[in-house]
Amino acid sequence: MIAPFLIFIEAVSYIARVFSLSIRLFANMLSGHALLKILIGFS
Amino acid sequence: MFIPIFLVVLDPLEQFDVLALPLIGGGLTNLSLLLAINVVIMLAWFSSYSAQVTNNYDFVLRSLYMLVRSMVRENLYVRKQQYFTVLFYLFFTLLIANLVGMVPYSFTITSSFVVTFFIAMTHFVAINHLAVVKHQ
Repeated sequence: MIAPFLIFIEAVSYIARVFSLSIRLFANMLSGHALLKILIGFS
Repeated sequence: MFIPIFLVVLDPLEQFDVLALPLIGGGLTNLSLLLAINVVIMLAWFSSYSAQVTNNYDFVLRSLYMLVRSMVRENLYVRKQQYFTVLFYLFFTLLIANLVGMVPYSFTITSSFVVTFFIAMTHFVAINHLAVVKHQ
């Protein structure tokens, strides 16, 4: 009974994982290097 | 007008601008040059490896190889470790990209969304293609 909903939810989760992981790597790199640039600018 | 150097506010986000470099053909950008440098560093590092570890680079490469191999063996349950090279290449691409990005006046290729999304999308398509081919 609940199986079609589970299929839908699992499919959405499986597709969204690509975007989630790539946005995580991008945002971590952007914030890390921006933070390092700000801290360098203090000196 | 003279501005003292300690009053200049540095823009922390200008290091992520993709600029066209006036070099060889003119079609070279910041991002593509650093992608090529990434591949060159990886090839130089891997090809200079000797099996008797005499160098610090060899030692680091060997210990990172053991690290990636243990990670793959823990997480990937296939009998032959046939997808090890893909994950090894992925690990070293990201490692060298982030190490090169630490150099001042350099560029970090993983801080542009095109590169990370390209990596994620190619691996997604490849994994699904392999799954459909193998379990059809």
